[in-house]
Amino acid sequence: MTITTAYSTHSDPQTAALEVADALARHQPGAVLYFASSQYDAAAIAAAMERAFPGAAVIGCTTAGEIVSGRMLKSSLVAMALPTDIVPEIHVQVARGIGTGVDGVDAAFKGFQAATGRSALDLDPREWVGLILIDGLSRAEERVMERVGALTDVMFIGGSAGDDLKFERTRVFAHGAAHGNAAVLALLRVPHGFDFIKTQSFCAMSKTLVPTRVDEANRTVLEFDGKPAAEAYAEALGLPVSEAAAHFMDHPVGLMDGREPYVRSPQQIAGNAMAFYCAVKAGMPLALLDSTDIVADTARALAEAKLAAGKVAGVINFNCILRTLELDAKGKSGEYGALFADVPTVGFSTYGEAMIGHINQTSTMLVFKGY
Amino acid sequence: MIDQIVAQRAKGNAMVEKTTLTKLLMKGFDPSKYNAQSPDDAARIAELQRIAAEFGVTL
Repeated sequence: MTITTAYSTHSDPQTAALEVADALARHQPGAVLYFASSQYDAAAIAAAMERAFPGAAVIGCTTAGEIVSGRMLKSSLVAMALPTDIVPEIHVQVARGIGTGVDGVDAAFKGFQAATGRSALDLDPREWVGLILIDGLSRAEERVMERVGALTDVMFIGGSAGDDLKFERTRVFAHGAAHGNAAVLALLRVPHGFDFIKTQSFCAMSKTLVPTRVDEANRTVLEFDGKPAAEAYAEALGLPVSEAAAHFMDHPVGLMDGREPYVRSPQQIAGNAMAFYCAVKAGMPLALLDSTDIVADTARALAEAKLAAGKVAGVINFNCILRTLELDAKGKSGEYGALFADVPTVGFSTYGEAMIGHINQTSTMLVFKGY
Repeated sequence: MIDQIVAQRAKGNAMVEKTTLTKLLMKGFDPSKYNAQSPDDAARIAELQRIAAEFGVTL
């Protein structure tokens, strides 16, 4: 059996779910992953998708745009059916109350232990992989990912749910319901293997900024190198502070792991401080980044993954909304979508990407190997 | 201490070694800045002990 994808642009959630089910249900998937525009009533789409795939584990979230094999869409429902030979075992948990702590994550992992009969620390990270979909307005991604990383060596990859840039309500879906202030965690056994792509279209410039005063809980840097953050950032770019915000998209900062940046994207200048889309730690040097070409970089990353995998059965793409906005602004969304035309792909434009931690302006992808 | 945390979590798995080092980096602790000759820093040692406990690692 093969991984298959489908989409619907019908505005009625029940009809959209049925259209997707018509295309996918005959494959009798063991798991279905779906991403739905916030135009759909969240509870209605969650219930409709659960009903459409009886017996399958059905998970998803709301989006800021959808991706399906070869296309980037808006206001749609996209879905991927995972057959039982690719994913013979999947366990789904909902971590609740993530806005105030990690007890929900701990409870989710107790659920995984009960389901697998093993501690998550004893699961082979070469055979098991995790998916994580987080309420994108919870501002809890850092603590959730840190806790997940402490509880298991299985790699969890995913993204933060969106709401088409309304920033009002994002939802994650599991067990036929829409959940807020929550994360959906899925543990998948993938015996034929998998790989990851983490791609961000930036290279490190020679300048580094060290956060010396931060308000980590509010994702805000008060000072870089002992100077007001906005002033130091603008100075590093050789710009007046008044022009700095116009360069956020092209010049975020990166926590460097060797040559690999973990991108932290500035959101706004507030007084002399800078708010970011993810938390920044005091004392950790951040390289100023310079943008490169998203389409070319993604094509290269996909080609490398295909070469390494031999045969790719499917891709799940968690692509930052800031990248989608850049692609839209440059008229390259079609070109980007077309990169995924020859492999079953599903994904969405996220409010943050998850891979080891919470990151920005990145695409994290799970690649299922074929056999 | 860093080596013990990584070794106990990775159990020889190179991918887990790498991700554990990255997890430390994301927590604000850059392993590449330290080696066996690094001077003891009580605050950093306490931080590593906290991380080890969180990771279920016995030092």
